[in-house]
Amino acid sequence: MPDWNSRLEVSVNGTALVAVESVTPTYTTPVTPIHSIEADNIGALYHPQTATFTMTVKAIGASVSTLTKLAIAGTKFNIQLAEKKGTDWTFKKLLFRDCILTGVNPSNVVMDGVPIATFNGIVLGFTADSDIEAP
Amino acid sequence: MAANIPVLVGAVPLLKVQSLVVNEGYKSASIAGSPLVQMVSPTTKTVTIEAFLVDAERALRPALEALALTSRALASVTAPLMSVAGIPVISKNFIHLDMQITGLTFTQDNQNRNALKVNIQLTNVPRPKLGGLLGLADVALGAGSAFL
Repeated sequence: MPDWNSRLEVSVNGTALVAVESVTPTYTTPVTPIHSIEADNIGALYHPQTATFTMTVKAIGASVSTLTKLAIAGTKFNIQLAEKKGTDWTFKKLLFRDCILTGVNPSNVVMDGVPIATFNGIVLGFTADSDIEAP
Repeated sequence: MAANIPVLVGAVPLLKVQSLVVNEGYKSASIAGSPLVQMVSPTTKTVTIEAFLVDAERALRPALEALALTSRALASVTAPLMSVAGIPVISKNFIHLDMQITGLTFTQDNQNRNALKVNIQLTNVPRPKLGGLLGLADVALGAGSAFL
């Protein structure tokens, strides 16, 4: 049984994000089956692929304000998920180039605890071979 | 699973047909000042085929264009043959002879990456020699066909 004894690091434009709670990247690869007038499932139609991500970050330090400014300016940036310590992860590196934020919830203020910021965005560059690195 | 019987337009097999619409009927005209209706003549039969050409099947596009006489060069080569018989359109349920392609639309769009969508409109053009028997040849062929 393999152990998980690794730490991952999320960086934006090469700078590590502080106090990341979660990062959920999603590749959407839509394909629909073709049916003819005589038979079912005789082929497939490929549709445009997309990638999106959701990040939740504790609103501590500069990371959240940097990302919020990127969102308002509509600036493209890179997100990288990589192993900081250990080699247990399936991947070595996942790179998402030219990300654009489509929605930001900069701080939901609560009575106790640290405010949480949520970022949703799209990824334009994710199909190159070098974007997914395996050990 | 059912066999995927192609729709043949001339010699071009279309394997991914989405719809095949046959339009036929009989023309009638109201007679002025009378409750009677005059039956005039059969309407021109049309067949509309909508199909996908996926991956390697996209190479069939020039063959369809040749059938549709889309250039003067093609017309000079193919038209003499067409004067004898038109394009037969054969599917599992229908056999239509003496058809002519009167509309051919290829659509390449950003949603279907590996496919061309083709819309073919065919009109019945009866030939005086062979197929001019008021479409009876269609019926005779249809009755002799194993598909029916």
